[in-house]
Amino acid sequence: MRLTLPNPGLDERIPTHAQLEKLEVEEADSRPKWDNKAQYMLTCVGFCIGLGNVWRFPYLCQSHGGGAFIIPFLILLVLEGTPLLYLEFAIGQRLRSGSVGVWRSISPYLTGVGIASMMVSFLVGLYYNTILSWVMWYFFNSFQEPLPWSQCPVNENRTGLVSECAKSSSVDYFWYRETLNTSAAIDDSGGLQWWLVLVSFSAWTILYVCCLRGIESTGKAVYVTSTLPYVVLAIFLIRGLTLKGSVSGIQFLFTPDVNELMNPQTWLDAGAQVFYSFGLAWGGLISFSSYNSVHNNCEQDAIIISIVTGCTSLYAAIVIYSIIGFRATEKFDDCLSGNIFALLNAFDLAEGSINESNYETVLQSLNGTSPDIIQGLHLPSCDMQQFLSEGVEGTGLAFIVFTEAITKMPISPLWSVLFFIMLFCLGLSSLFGNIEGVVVPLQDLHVLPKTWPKEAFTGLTCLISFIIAMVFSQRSGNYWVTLFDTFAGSIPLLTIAFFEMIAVVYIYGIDRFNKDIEFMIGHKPNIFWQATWRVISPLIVLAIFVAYFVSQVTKELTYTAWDPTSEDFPKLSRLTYPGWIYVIIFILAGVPSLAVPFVALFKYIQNRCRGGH
Amino acid sequence: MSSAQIRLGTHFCFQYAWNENELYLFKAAVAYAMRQYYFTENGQQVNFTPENVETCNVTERVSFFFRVTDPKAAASIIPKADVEAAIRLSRGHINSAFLLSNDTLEFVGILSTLAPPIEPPVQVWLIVFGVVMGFVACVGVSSHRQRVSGQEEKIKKG
Repeated sequence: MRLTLPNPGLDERIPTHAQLEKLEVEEADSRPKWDNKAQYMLTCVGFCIGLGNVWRFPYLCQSHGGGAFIIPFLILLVLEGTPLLYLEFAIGQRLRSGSVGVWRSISPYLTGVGIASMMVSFLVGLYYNTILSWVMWYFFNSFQEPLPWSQCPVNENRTGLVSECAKSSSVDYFWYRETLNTSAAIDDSGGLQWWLVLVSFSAWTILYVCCLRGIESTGKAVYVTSTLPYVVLAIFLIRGLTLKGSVSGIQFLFTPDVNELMNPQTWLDAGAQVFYSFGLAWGGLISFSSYNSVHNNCEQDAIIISIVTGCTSLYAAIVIYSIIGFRATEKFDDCLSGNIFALLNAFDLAEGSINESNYETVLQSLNGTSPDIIQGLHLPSCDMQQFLSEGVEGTGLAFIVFTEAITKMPISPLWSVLFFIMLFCLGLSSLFGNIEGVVVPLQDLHVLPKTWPKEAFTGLTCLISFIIAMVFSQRSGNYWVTLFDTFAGSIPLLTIAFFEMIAVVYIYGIDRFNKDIEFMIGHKPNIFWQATWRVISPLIVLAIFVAYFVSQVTKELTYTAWDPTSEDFPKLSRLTYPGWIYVIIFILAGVPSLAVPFVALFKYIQNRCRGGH
Repeated sequence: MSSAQIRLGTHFCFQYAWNENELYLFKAAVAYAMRQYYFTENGQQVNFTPENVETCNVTERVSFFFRVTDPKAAASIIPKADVEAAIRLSRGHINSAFLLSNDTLEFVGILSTLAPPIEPPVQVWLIVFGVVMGFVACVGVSSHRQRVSGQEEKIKKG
C-alpha cells in the first residue's frame, strides 16, 4: 500500500525527465557546476567532517563504554545517516535547486522547510564562526616560544603568581581570562573585547573570500581545507604514539563496557551524533548535490561519504586519546613526584628512598606511624582515571586539555600551529556548507533584487553575521555560544529532517521518487532504502526528537560558569538561566521549527484569498 | 634560633653525590655571599671564610641548618636577617655553583622575587594577524580582478 498525499500541480513545478536529459546533453544549464567529481566529494566530506568529529565523538565514545559505543554508532549510521544522506543527494540532483527551491517545487506549502533550514544554517553559522575565531586567536598566539598559555603571569609585587592562575592552571587562565575575559554570569555582559572583535573580523573575512563566487571558489579551497586535517591527524598520530602514556589513553578510549548498550542514553547520543555529524537538514547538501550532472551516481556517493565520515570519526578519536593519555600520564607523574617531595621534606628522608614503585607502601607505613603529619601535608590523590576523564569534550578539549598537552611536548609552537590550522580547516569547510545553505535560499526566495551578483549576497550575509556575532565578543560571549550550541542546532534540525522524509516519501510520492532514481542512476533503490526511507529513519528521528524535547523541557536549564569568587573555584559553578533567556531559547529553537507549519498556514490562507477572488 | 635552614629538592637528580666536599663548596658560597653583601651594602670588606659558616642537624635528606659567625669575633653570630639578605643578593651565584635553580635549592623562609615572564616587545599575535589579513586581501583582490577580466572577455565574445 503506497500512501501518498494529494499534491496537485506537481508536474508543472518540476522539470520532466525529458527536459533534464535535454539540459544535460546541450549543457544549457546556467547553474554552476563542479569542475570534477573530486571537488564535489571533498566539499561534501569537508562539510560532514567538522569540529564535532574531533571533540564530541571521542568523548561520547569514551563515556559510553568505549569500544562498545561503536556498535550503536555504526547501526544508527546505517539505519539513519546513510538513508537520509541518499535522500538529500537524490532530491537535490533531481530537482536541481537549493533547499527552498526543492521543497517549494514539491509543494508550495513546504516552503517552510527550506526557510527553516536557512534560519538554522544562519544561526549556527554565527556561533560556529565565533569558535573558529577563537581557534584563529590561538593560532596567532602560537608563533612564540614559550607558548603564552604555558606560564602563569606574575602578580604586581612579584612575590608570586596571579592568584586566579595559581588556583586553577596556566591553560585555564589563558582561556578564561586572557582570551575570553569571561564574566561570572550570562547577565553580566561586560562590553566588547577588542581582540575578539578583531579575530572575529578576520574569520568572517576569510570565509567571505573563500565563498566569494560560490562553489567556484570554495571548490578550490576544499583541496586544502578538506585534506589538510587528515595530514595533521597523521602527524599527531605518529607523534602521539611515540609519547609516553599514549597507549593508556587509547586503551581508556576503547575499553568496552557492554552494559552501556542497555542504557537508552547511549543509543540516543549515538543517534544524535550520527545525525549532526552528517550535516543533514541544513540544506547545504541538497544545494551541493544540485550542481551535479543528472546521471551522477548519488547512491554510491552517499555510501562512500558515510564510510569516510565513520572512519574519520574513529581515526580522530584514536589521535585525540593518544594525546590525552600522554597528558594524563604527565600529570600523574607530576602529582606523584610532588607528593614524594613533600614526604621527603616532612620526614627528612634520603633522596631516592621513595620512588613511584614503593610510594603506596611507604605512604601506608608512614600513615600508620604518624597520621597527623600526613594529614597536615594535604597530599592530593593522584588518580590516573581522573586525569584521563577530565574535561575532554567541546571547547574544553581543544583550548584547555589539548593545549596543556602541547606545552609538554618538545617544539611546542610547531604542534600548536599544526593543531589549530587543522581545527580551522575542519571548521571552515563545514562553514562553506552553511553559507551555501543561507545564500542559495536567499536567492531562491527573491528577497533581494535579482540583478545583484552572488558576491553581494555572500557579502551581505557575512557582514550581518559579523555584526550580530559581536554578541559573542562580549565578556559573557562564551555563555552565549553554549546557549546557541545547545538550542539552535538541535531541535530545529530534527524537526526539519522529519518533515523532509515525510515530504519526499508521502507528498512527493515514493513511487515517483523511485522512478526518478531509476532515471538518474539506472536502477531502482532496493528494499533496504525503501524500508529505511518509509519507516525506520523517520521513526528514529522522531524518537530522538521526542527524547530531546522532553529532557530539555522537564529539567531546569542550567549552565556552567567560571567564577573566581565562588567557593568551589577552580571548579565551574552551575547557575540557572535568568528568565529572559527563555525568550532567546524560543527564538533559537522554536522559530525555525515553527516556520514549517506557519509558512504552510500562510500559503494556505494566501491560496484561499486568491481562490476566493 | 638565628640559623637559616636550607633544603634541596628531589625533582631533579643530582649530577653528583652529596658529600663533605660539596658541603665545603656550600660554605664557601655562603661566605662569598656574605662578603659581597657587606661590600655592596655597607662598603666594608669583611673577609668571611668557609670556616665561619657552621652547620648542624645534617640529615640524610641533604637538609641542614647553618649559621654564620663574625670573622673578627668568633663568638658573635651574624643576625638571620643579614644572612637572608646576603643570600637573596647572591642567589643566582649560589644556584649556579651547584648547577641548581630556585626550585631545586630551597632556602626555607627566603622568598625570592620572581623574574617577570619574558614579554616580547611587540605582541606577536598582531604581527601574525597582519600577515594573514594581508594575504587574504591579496587573494580577494586577485579573485575580483579575475572575475572582472572574465566578464570583459564574455562581453567581447558576445
